[in-house]
Amino acid sequence: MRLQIESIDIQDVRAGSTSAVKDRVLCVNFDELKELICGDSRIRSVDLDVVHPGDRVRVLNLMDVVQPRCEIGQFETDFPGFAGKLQIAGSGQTLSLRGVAVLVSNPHTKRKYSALLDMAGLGAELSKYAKMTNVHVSPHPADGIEERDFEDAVKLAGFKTAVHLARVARGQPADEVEVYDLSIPDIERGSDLPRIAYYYQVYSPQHDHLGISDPCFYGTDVRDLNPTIIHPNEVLDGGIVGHHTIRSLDTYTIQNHGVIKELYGRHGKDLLLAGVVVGAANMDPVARKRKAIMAANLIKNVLGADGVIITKIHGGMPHVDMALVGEECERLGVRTAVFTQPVISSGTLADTLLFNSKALDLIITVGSTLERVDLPLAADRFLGGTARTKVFLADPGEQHADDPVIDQEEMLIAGVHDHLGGAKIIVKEY
Amino acid sequence: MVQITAVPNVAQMVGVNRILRGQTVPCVMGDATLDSEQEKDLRLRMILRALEILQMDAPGPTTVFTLEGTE
Amino acid sequence: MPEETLRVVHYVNQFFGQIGGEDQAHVGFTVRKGVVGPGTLLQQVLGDQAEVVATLICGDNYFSSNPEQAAEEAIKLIDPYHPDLFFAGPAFEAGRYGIACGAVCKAVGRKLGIPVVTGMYEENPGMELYRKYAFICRTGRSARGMADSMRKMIRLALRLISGERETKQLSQENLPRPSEYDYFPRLLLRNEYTDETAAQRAVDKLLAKIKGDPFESEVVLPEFERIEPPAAIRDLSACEIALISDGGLVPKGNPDGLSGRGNLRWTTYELDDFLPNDFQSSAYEVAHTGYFPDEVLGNPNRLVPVDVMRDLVSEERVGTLHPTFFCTSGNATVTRRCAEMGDEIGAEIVKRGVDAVILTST
Repeated sequence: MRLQIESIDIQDVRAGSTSAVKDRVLCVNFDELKELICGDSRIRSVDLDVVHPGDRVRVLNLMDVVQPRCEIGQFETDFPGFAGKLQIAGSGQTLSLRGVAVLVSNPHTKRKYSALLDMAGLGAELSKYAKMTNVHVSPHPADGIEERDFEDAVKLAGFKTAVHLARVARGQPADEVEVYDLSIPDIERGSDLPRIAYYYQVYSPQHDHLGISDPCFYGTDVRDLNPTIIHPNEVLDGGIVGHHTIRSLDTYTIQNHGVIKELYGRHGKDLLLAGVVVGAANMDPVARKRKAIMAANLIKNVLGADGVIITKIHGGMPHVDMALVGEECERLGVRTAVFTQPVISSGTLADTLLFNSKALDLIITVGSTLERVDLPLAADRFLGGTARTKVFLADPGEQHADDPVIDQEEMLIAGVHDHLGGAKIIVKEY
Repeated sequence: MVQITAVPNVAQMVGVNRILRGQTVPCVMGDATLDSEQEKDLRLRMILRALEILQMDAPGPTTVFTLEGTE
Repeated sequence: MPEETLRVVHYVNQFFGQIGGEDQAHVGFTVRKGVVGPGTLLQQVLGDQAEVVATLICGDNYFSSNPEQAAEEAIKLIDPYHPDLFFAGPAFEAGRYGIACGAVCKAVGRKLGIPVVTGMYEENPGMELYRKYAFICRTGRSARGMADSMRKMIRLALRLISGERETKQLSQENLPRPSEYDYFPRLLLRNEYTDETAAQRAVDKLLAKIKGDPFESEVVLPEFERIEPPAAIRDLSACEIALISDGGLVPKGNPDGLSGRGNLRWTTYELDDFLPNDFQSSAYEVAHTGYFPDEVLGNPNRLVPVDVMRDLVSEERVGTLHPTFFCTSGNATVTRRCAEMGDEIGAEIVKRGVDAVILTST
């Protein structure tokens, strides 16, 4: 499979009567975009805004962040199963805008917590999205729409916006072209280079809102997913998307998957990228074991891996689940590197592990995602909510968007941490 | 002490000496797919198993008990 | 950095305080104006930036026989000097001296809110006991390293008082890096920026691991102490059993304020009131964000199996169900606090004469 990503750098986004890119400024006819979004009968109306780095704006109730991308040449196939027609993602030419992100809010969310983004202050210093010019999408529900149905509609509005913005830039010369070309069946068998696979834990159902799993894989959920082999290009090209809530994970981060890009960059040089196995964490211990041995088997006996990198999503049970996959891989002789996110801010690093297998001796800390910071932003504007919107507080008590200082866990600030290895962060003992 | 948990690996790691595997994370001593009588019966069987384990010499954290036997 | 000369108070034991050796370890506190013993070196290195206004001296045995009380006494003697910085020792390998330095630093840090710095050898018992409460610089075993140790302590103290923020941290606190200032980590964890992404680090280290080359894991596995298992129960029908859970089931309104994440408390509820057989789901909430609570709220017995226990008691298959339920929430709680809560609950249960416990967890 061959995927070519052509990136165009954008420096500003403005409203305009015609949609076009000129001198790196993306002009957007927002009325057209509104019409496109409201074409979904589940959405009554939508607020669209542009935010710039340094704006004293607090964006609330964030559900997802998406990088504007669209296929060149083919239409209606972006984010297959979500916005686009069902086909396997990961082939062809894709246009990608850099320096712009689509911020997707659900201002009517009933979930206990959602992420926010400050465009100024400490929160902005921490977040990669605060350095970009962003288009904010905040839909409102049609009458009588059921909560989960509306969430799906909001998510979709984010994808539609992302595709729409990228299409505006068609015809612009690319600032960078990346080629992801990997034919797994043709990988040289006799090579000395170690074969490295990637185990990608994409979901865990333990937090399912209203007991319903968020669709994140070709338009469907993965609650009972058996370990499945996919091609890495599928991840980079919209086959897998973020959940309906941001816990250090959003679509943008997946589109720029740190581990996959790193492995790809070194394929043929000091390693061979052997393939990707996706799985979901399990609440039932029997299922957990079954799927762990299945995953290890695919990695060892089908992909023929010498080593595997294993990542997880947020949570303690996902941590245990991932460790079991690691143990089963090591048992079959596949050497592992496992990613963890410590969730406590005191103790030693050893205290942060939920497994005790001597075989899992290579552990990478992507970040302490529940580290708390004070965000003292006196915002002029609130998007995706109001000044009185309740912001999640880990302790008993309440806080609101316009409090002079809010106490926020870093995983609930969009764009800080990255479970997929793309951030330059580590956890240290102090 | 016997610990009933749906994440027995953690109990093993910490060194709990008597571990009984529970049903699922959100419903460790039950099963919402059963009717209430069957579910209570399941819960009774789990407690009886737990009491059985309390009457054994502790095998240590290398063993995780299940309703039927061991893992 | 304050414009005026910083005021420093220094603590030393009877030996470094030039009172005497082991034979004088029993003496109580004395205060001398200015420097004594190694304080001279301390003042020399501090130069014009600071003045050692007083030295507090105490015998190692006097202090270590009751450290908390001795520390209180020390505070009363130190406070009048209004120090900006406090140094103790360094204690090197000396255990009682190390405990005294740690305890007095802890008290001064808490009561006076100023930077407190000392120095110890890694195996000094005072290090493990007090590392959370003071900045303990790493020293060698003996006082031969006095000059280096003092310089290290001073460098760290001046950094602390400067208020400079650590830009390598995401949280940008006034918290210098242990590796840069060579002090024992104080059981805190912080995020830092790195030059390489986690993916880069992972691939580099995995390739080394596969090749058989040395690699450094970013976390080293913990050693969990082996706990001697209690003996088996002999006679169930004479047995009193208590229920404990860390699943966070509490009365609606969460009156004892358990946190859904990082909770540090445990509490008790009387089962007859808390979970009667004719319970109402609306009377409960779950203070635990690690799992979706609907099934437990639908029937709390799914977490705390009281219904079945009551039946077993009335059928005389179990002696008694202890009337009190022990309740906590264990979601991302620091391991150390978990162990402490276990000890606290355990002590209470033993006090009540309970024979066995069933602990239910998610």
